[in-house]
Amino acid sequence: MNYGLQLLLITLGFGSITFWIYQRKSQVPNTDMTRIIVGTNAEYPPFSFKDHDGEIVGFDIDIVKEVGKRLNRTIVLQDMSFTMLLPKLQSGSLQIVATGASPSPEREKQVFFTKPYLMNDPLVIITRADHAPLKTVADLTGQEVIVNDGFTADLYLSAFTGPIIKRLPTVADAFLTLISQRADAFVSARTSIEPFFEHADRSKFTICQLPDITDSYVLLVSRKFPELLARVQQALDAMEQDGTIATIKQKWNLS
Amino acid sequence: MINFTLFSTYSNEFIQGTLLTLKIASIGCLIGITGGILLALIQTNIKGPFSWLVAIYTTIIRGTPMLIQIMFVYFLLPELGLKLSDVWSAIIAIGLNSSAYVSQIIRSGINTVGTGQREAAYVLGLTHFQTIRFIILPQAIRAVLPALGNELITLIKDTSLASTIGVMELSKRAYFVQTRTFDVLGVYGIVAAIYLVITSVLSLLVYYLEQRMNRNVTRS
Repeated sequence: MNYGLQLLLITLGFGSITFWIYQRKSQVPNTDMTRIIVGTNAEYPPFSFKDHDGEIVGFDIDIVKEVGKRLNRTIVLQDMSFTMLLPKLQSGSLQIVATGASPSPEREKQVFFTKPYLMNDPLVIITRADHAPLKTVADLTGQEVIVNDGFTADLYLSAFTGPIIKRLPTVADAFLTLISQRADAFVSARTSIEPFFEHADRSKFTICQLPDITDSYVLLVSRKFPELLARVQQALDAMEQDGTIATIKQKWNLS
Repeated sequence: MINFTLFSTYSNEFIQGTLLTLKIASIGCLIGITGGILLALIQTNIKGPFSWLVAIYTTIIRGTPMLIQIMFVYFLLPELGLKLSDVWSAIIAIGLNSSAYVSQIIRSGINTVGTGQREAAYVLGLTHFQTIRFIILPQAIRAVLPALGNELITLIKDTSLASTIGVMELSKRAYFVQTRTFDVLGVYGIVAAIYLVITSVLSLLVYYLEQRMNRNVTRS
């Protein structure tokens, strides 16, 4: 093949790819007014997880289903990893993400947050019972401390230089690592660790509450749907007022 | 395409991650190549149980996912009384994995060297070791250099699996930045570029080595 033909083919190839990307970008995101597509990562009980039948259930799921009911829209749940959730939310193919997320100003550049529907969830330090108990952040100095990637405990402890932080994806990973003595402590929101003790012996661990920090949870709404954010917030406010949120909290043993 | 503001804000994360990735890859590669050559030499020079053991080893290592091997080293070696740090668990797992692949690459190279050369070397009075060191291995490695380069590039990308046990190498650092900023695509753009630079430099090095090793070779 001569140079001219090769160049032509390459230009055509790149051209069509660019055109295709442009087309996809200009595509209008989900505007179906009967459904809300909700993304979740069903690995975080009690917020979002799969029950024995493989159904996605949890506190956040109940909240978002109730929101859907009040907005007269069907909730379509999609389970995927965190790294898939965000690009899909940003492109608008997901409208809401309900996965026990906590707000921060830096994150708000990428997504909308609702107001928190669950607050004052304390952070706790969990150690094996055979380990010297660790009560404060100062105690964690020089200790290997597990946190879950991007959770409030991770953001909070990363600001300290003392603890040797080990970031693992899920609560189950964290407990496995703690039990196999590959770390000294695990720091997490109390709510996230409670489901683990349904199957495990609580007396094998020491749990101490950290004084200065609590976690709160919000829904993420795509920046492509500002009007949806307002309506979801309205629904959440109404649910707070008429006690629906309190009822759902009770169902999941949250306070 | 690449978000430079994001990069400069979190440059320390990306740099630390890159350095650790390079450390894991280079030591893993060293273990892989020395181990691989040793295993290949055993398989081509010693007949019997040793050779069978190597065959079993390569079958197991090549037949199971690297992810599981890393978990295995991380969780089961401490049970046997050998406690390695997170980073070293990853390095050992990746090195052992690589050695299995490299051994088969080198073995195929050794097989390309005709038996006549080996016999000629013995006739000229070279010892067994000298024959391997000066006659067999240089030709074998020259023959399989492209395949070896391929394996090393794979190894560099496989280091990202170390993130599963919490090692803060490049892809784990990327996840770290993602969880802070929620800017997934921006972070992946940067990280892909860094991996591409590392592997491109490696490809160039392998190419240069190929040229060097082939400069005195006349094809017949």
